[in-house]
Amino acid sequence: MLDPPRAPIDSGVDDSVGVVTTFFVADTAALSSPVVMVLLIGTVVLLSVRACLGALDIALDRFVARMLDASVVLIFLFFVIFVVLRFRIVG
Amino acid sequence: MSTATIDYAPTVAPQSTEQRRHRLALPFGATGLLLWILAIHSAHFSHMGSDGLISVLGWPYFLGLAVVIAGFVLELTRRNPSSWRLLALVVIFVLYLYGTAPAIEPIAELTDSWIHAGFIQYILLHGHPLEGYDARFSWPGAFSMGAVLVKFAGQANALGFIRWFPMVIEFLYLVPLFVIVRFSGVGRRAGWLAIVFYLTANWIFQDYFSPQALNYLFYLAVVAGVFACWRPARVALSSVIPGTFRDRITQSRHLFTRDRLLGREAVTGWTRGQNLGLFLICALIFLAIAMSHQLTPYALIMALLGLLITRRLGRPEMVLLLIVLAAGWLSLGASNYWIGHLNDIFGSIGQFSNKLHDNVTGRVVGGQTHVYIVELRILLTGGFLVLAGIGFLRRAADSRALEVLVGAPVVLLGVQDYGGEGLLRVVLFGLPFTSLLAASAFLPNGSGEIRSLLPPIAKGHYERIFHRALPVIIALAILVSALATTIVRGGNDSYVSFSQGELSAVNYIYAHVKTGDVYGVANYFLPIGQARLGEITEYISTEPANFRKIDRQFLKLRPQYVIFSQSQENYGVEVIGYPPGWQRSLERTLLGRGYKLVARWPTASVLKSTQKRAPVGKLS
Repeated sequence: MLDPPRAPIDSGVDDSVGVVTTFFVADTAALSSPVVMVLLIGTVVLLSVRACLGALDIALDRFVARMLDASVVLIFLFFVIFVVLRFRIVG
Repeated sequence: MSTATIDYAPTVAPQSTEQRRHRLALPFGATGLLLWILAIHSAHFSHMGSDGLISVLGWPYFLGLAVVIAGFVLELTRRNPSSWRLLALVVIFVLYLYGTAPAIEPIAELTDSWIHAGFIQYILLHGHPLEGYDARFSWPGAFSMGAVLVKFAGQANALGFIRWFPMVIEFLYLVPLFVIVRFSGVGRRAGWLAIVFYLTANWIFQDYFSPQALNYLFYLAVVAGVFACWRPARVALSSVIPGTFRDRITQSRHLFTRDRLLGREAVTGWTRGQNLGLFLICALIFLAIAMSHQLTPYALIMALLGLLITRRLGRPEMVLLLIVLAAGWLSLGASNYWIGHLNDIFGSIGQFSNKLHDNVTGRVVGGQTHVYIVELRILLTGGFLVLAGIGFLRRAADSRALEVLVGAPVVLLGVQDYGGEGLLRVVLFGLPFTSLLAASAFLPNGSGEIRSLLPPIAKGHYERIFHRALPVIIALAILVSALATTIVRGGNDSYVSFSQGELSAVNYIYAHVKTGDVYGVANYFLPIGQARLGEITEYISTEPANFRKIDRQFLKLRPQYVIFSQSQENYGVEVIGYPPGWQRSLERTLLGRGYKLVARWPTASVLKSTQKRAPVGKLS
């Protein structure tokens, strides 16, 4: 006859929350580097496009110009947020 | 842009005096050059005393400096000064102030120069920086470039570059400086005077073989490019001419208009291709700066922001680009540096009073000579700031860019933790602009959109006296500044410059020490670090108040070799306050307790432990 299923041994430590947090932080730490890198490249490309267009006096359609400005602001903000997050999590 | 200057052109001497002056400038320069060569040949490095470089300089140096200054002022105050003659005299100034120490001292000064040569050597041998060894390796751009240059020049190491590097880099600084003064909005004479003020007030000695010296060149190049490309557009500041400071403060709200922050209040006369070229070159420089030095990117960010709000920058993207590259490198490339001790970077933000203590009062320590040198440095810097303040009040301008560029680096002091050297960098980053304002105190610009805060000297008797006395006043200002810089720039040379014997002692160690061994030094002042990076460890004592504790540290840790030398001795006496002969006393103690003398030169000795294995000790 099979033994009845045993109750799980109580280690006395509720580690579920800790494990989840550790995974989350470790994952974010590992991810933060490529995310910052991608945002860095994106910001540099958008800023360079905007500066080059300005230097060459190429006038964009008003809507396109606004979208470009909005993209620059947005990606720059994301970049700043992720750099700060990386400092807080990894540092 | 108007560059009219209130000068004494209308009151210059008659034609005959003019012709005499025309003939005098170059002979004065040539005499100065001959006297400099004589000064170098008559100076003996081995006679250097606690006053540093000035203690080995004889009368030819001081007479020659005075002659060059006289020649410069004679040429500057001519009706139509010749740029070539002024340039020749400026070159002689560079020789005097930056070429004298390398010419007299047998090897390169400052330990850090040697350490940086060692970093380059490591990259040359291994193709990458040594991770986790030193914070400076987290910004390896300049070292990598140095390795490329060494390889390109077919050299075995960078040691051949370090001795004359300060003078060479100061010559290179002149190129962007000439562009800055040309487009800064001050008059021609004031511009030449500012160049000489810059040279005679740069006691800060950040031009040794280092990433910061190279990055300062980049900093000046970017500011020069921006100055040359953009000039302030005329804007309607106010319907009324400001009569009071309140009116002027009210006007300052124009600093932050949308148009200004988007760079629309700066205009350029350059072609589209030139504009694009400038942006691309600046972007390349930003990339180099971001990975080469901890502080320069942030100083340049502040400078570019200052130029933007003073209508001298038309491409605000440049500010954001530099912020992104600098923060990106800090976050990704320099993570070895900040992971685990983030507090080192951000822990002291805003602690102005602590930093002021570290940078000013905390440095006025040590023996009588050292305290005198530090006080003279503070006095010289303070004097120039006062002159700059007078220049600010006297000059009319189209933009207040110079004033903002003097003040912008101060922000760095509040947001960085650069130890006791932070204020030095702040002064250095503002120095070209401080010099321009100081020159404006004597030769202010007379016209501009922004009026001067002080009325010009009324025409009449006093004006005539002032204009006649002005050449003498200018000559005295340059002379005082040049003498003070000669004293304070070389004031530490008794322990930051090294003899051939000291280098031989260090080379002896590198030739005999085994990989993994430790050698000990009483303090940091030796030409060390240029070889075998990461293979051997140097133990530097903790510089206790009582020098007797140093031999206890050595006996406890038992490094295989110990070096004693003249520079270490001088540092101990002049800065820490040890009695003269303290090293000889330590040497005697160690010789009786398991060490033997293995090599001696007139200025250095090497001791070796007679025990086969060193006990395990915690190195600090």
